[in-house]
Amino acid sequence: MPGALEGIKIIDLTNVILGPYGTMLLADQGAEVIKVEAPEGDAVRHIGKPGKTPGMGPTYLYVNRNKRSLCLDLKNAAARTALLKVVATADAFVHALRPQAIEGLGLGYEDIRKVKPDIVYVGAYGFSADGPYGKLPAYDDAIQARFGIADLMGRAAGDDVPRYPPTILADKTVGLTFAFSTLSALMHRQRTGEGQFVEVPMFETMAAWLMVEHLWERTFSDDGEVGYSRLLARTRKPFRTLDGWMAILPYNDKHWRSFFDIVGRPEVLKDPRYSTLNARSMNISDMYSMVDILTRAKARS
Amino acid sequence: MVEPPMRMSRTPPAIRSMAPLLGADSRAILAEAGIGEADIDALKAGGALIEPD
Repeated sequence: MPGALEGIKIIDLTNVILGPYGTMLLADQGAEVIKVEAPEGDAVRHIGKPGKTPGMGPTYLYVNRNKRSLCLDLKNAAARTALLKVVATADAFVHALRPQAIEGLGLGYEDIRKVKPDIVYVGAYGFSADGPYGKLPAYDDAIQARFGIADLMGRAAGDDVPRYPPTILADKTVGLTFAFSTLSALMHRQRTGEGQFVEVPMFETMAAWLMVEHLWERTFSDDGEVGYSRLLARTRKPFRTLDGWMAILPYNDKHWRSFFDIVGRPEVLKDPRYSTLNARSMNISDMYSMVDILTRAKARS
Repeated sequence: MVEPPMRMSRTPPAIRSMAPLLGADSRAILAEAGIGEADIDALKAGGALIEPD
């Protein structure tokens, strides 16, 4: 059966993970993704041990399934002309080069519009071109260091030593944003015939993502506390029981009543510090401490 | 590799082909865009277009 995006053609100049993961999501849905690679190929081809074929490393295989490869040296004028002929047959053009680098190749939005006026043109940048970091290059760790997660990891651990989570959080999250932004512009184009320029900046995307719950009291005033206390509680963790580790997450009134009934301490919820959802949310570290202490002597079952 | 996790009743997402070798579709893609064989050969001879050996 054909995918939902059958017939949509995307010219993809991205490499590494962010862009390729975004276009993988579109290719899985049936879009024709033409991956344009420089003669040296996407660097991710050479990361990790390949199965049999050199240049076909594990992560490359994952995010580039369902794609076609067009290998051109775009510094060559004839190769650039050939690419523009392919672009003229496409619905979207996506890249993840810095704004000045893509302009340098003569493949900026205005260049592409000349050959395909209704193109959906998407640039994934490290930082918004108009922002204070606009000209800086970016890799996942450089974004993680800036958008706040490294700091929160240290606060959650309790030692205030910044650290990175063991996943390319920014690349993959921005890859998702990249995919749905492209799709939104394609839907608008289908309804109206209009193409447009789309910028998806990593840093700004990740800041907006992190602040969903961590903007916290800064929502109301500039000197408010940043950081959702429940997620930063050192007592929030898998809990040790007599026969192994266990995830325990009482959340609403009913959950907490059940929990304290099971452990034989129903009177705890009569304490005004713990009696309502809001009171518990203000004292969440206490709540998790009690879970920790009360479950150590119990079996999981 | 992990399959697409979502289920769609009419247009299921799927892994339809493996990741391509470098330049695996170079020639076919340019031909589909109306570029003639002689021009494609010239690009290749000049090193501006790569295909697998």
